[in-house]
Amino acid sequence: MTASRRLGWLAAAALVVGLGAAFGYAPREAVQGNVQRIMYVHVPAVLTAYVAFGLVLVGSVGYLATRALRWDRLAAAAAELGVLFTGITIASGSIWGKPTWGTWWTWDARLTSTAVLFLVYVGYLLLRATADEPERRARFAAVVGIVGAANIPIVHFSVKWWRALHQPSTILGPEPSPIAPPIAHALAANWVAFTLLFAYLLTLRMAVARLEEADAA
Amino acid sequence: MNPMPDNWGYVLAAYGVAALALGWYWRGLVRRARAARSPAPPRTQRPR
Amino acid sequence: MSRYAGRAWAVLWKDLLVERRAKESANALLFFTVTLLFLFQLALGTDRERLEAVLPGLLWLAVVLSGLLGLGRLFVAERENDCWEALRLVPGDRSAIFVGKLAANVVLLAMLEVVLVVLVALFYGVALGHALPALAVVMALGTLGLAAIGTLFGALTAPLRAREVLFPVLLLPAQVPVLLGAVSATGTALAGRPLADAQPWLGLLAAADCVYLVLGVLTFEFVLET
Repeated sequence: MTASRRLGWLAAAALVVGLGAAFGYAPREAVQGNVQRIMYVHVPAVLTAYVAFGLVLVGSVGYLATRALRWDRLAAAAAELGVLFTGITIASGSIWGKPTWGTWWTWDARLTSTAVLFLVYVGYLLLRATADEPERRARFAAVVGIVGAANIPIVHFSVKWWRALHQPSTILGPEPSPIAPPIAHALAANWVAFTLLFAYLLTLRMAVARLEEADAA
Repeated sequence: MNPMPDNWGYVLAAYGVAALALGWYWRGLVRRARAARSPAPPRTQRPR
Repeated sequence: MSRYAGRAWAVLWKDLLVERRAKESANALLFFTVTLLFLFQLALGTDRERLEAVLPGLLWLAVVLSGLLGLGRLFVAERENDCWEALRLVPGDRSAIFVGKLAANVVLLAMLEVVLVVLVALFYGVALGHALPALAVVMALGTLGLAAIGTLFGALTAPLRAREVLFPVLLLPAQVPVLLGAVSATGTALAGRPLADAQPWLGLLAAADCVYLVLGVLTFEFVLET
């Protein structure tokens, strides 16, 4: 418990550092202006979401292999966080796109893939919500979790090629072409902060699950 | 080269959405943890 | 190995027989597919050129939506007739059941697609002639992928209360990559171009089919358990 709270404070500190890096240390981008600073939320969020979905796979396989509910708790917690961070990715990407591309939504490869992934894992959470028995819920969720993870690379390539078909050129994209070192540093700092926050929320979520299971027993 | 105007409103919106979402989730977890840990009020036995 | 194939074949044969005897539901599904085609045209207007441009998309949307109705049926029927337990008691490798059910679903979708393609050719005057072999390959690849995921999730959602909502919710996002690949490759095939032109897409479809097939075979017994 104290370890978890320490992790929480560490994450909070890292987030403050990240904010400072995003607004103080990183320079104003030449082409897009300060709107580009949204990248320091958008990119770490999507990276964290991918880590989360990887953990869903780990938990799913772990449960099917050992039948220990601990793995199922990991998968469930990671899926919730994955959906949360994916939602943040989409929202920030959309907000970033409005001033730079002129619309709230474009069929940009990353946004589209992320949206599909969002739907996949929201489905996973809905499955968990509607299956009652803990054992069956864990088992079925594990199967869907494995399929979902296997889908990630397939979705990635299909959307990438699809987009190349339909939108051959991008003039202004939310990606500054050469990444200057200060930008890379700020990105890294924020990614570390997001990862710590993710770890903290994950442990907290799993602890809540264990407590609630014990209560129900 | 035509630099774009600073769109601080959008920056604020993006960071705000992230902060709100994360904060909401975290508060929910803390509340659930507190509820789960506090001694449960005596409930009538329900057939399970 | 042959015992495995025999078991899968038995499941397939049983399901096809059931379909043939209870023709109503298969016919209703077919009718639904045709109605969909009409609905698309009504909703999207009579601009022939615009419709022809999105023809591959319409075709596969019809297949996917019909699949939502049709792909889960095999397992729901088992539950309704209390055959679920019997299915579970089959000795040996249960993934053979998956293969049999998958084959039955592929046959079902294939029948729908034949009708769809014929109708589309009639409505839009598409010269199918030499496009047919390429089209058949693309449709086979796409159907296999759609059916594989559909069979797995159909079995998974069958015992759940909320199956009617959960099945589409789980299935559609998982089918997106197959949909993208199939639509693109179908466009190439209908335009009469050689299959090689559809290359990254065919590779994607083949890869997705493999992944979904393997996953289905591996995880099916977890779905069937207790």
